Amino acid sequence: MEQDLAKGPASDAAPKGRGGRRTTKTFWRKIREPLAQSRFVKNAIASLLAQFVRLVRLTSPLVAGSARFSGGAYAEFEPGIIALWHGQHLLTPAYYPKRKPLVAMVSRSADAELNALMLEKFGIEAVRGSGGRDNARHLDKGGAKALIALKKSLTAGKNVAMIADIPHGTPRDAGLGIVLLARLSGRPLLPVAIATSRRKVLEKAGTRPPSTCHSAVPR
Amino acid sequence: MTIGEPIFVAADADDAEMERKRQEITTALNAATAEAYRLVDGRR
Repeated sequence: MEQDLAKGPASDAAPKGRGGRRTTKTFWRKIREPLAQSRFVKNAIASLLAQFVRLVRLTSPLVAGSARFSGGAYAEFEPGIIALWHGQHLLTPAYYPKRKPLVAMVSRSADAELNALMLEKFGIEAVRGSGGRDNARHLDKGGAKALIALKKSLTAGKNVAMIADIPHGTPRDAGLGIVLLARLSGRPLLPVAIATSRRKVLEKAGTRPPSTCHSAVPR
Repeated sequence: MTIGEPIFVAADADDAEMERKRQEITTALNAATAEAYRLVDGRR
């Protein structure tokens, strides 16, 4: 089988007959999964997402009365910890000033990886992890590393961004992770909300990846 | 886009204070969200 694979994408050039067809099928089955997980494919999807965000930025300029990070209005509170509700976070690159550094915490789930790749296209650094913790004392190792990375970024003078609600907790209820970061760094939490008149479209268009459960579940 | 009032957390904050701050940021984010919706819907 290895010899057949070495021939390259054989498809039509494969010798006719039983042996040839089976080779192609087996080959396809072998590359299909790695292809789906390939960096190339993920990058392509992330580029599409980035284009979508750019489109939103172009077609939905900030409404009068909106706050902005550009212009220095919040300079005395920067570097700060931008806090966002899950869901609203996706449009951050559309409204965050282009040349201003930002380090964002992105969960380690597989679909959050697309988010991380997309952020890179805007020059926003992604730190994988979550500040999730169940109580004030226990922080999982990955979460601790991520929080420390964000704290270092703040010390270096960069704004950081975190999703305030916990990946598998109650939606729109802040976790303690972001509070801990504020305590450790001494930098303020900046509550940010982003809404567009197209939000209903966005909500339906898959801003709820399967691994997070932010549908409205009555308690 | 809306940005609410900055919230500081003291370096010596204990569990109770952390919980209060947690609730404060929750309230602040919900208020910012409501305000953002209001701004954006007001255009119609």
